[in-house]
Amino acid sequence: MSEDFKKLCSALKYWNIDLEDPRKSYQTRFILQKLAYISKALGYPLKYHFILYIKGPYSSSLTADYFNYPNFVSNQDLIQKFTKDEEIILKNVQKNIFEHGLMKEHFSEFLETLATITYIKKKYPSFLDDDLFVYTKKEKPYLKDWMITIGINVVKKILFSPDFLTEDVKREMELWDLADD
Amino acid sequence: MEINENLAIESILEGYKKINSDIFTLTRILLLIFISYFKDGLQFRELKNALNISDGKLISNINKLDRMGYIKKEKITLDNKKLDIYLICEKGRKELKKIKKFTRNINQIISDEM
Repeated sequence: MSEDFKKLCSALKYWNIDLEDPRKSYQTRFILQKLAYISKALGYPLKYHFILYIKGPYSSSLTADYFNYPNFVSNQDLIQKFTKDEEIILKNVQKNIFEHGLMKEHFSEFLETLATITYIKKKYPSFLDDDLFVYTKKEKPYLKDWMITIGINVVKKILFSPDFLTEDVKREMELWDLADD
Repeated sequence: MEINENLAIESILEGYKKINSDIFTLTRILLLIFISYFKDGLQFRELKNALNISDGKLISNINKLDRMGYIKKEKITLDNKKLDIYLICEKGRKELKKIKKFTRNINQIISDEM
């Protein structure tokens, strides 16, 4: 089994996610693909290669792993130590994705939206919100408009690095905070 | 080189008899390739968006592949919504292998300079 898959399953355990057998559940496979991609995009050390077209982000090597080692997905004995950076990433996902209100009833669609937008944003870093919306809609026309709009905001949050928070930005944010409605 | 080309032509002449000619439409070939590649299974809406064809055309081609035993439909639930996904069957995988071999032989005798 690949180290990547161990790493991914450890993350599932960290998030306390209980998934069904991936051989039997399409939803499990779907969630694994999207979570693996988002985590990787945030810097979690996974080497899986992902493509966007048709089903993306999608990794065929990840598919091979969960079909070959399905029991690992719910392995409670898995012990993995995380580095400080890894833990920051896992917490970021926990706080901004798992604790989001949309995760209750739109779990899969929300993850699909976030993974797709993250992929596009990574590929075209200069894209603004409107570009992201148009491109996401082109790739996944069946995603709801409001879901994409919320998704763009969440992706901006999860991809935000503390390095971006310069003194100028801080000052501007403070001014906005002080502004009246 | 000449021997190789002879063998390739012989294989094409023999190979085409083994291939199910009903599969040879662009839509059906693409459906079979994509459904085979995405082992997780593909949703109807994903296929529709990828191929950019009407619902009617897609469903009739899917049904044809299903009747030939190359793909199968599975009912799934995603976010409490009932959806259909399509998965490749062993027969479909075998047919795809034959097509792959057939096109490899064509590739051998048709040079890029043509």
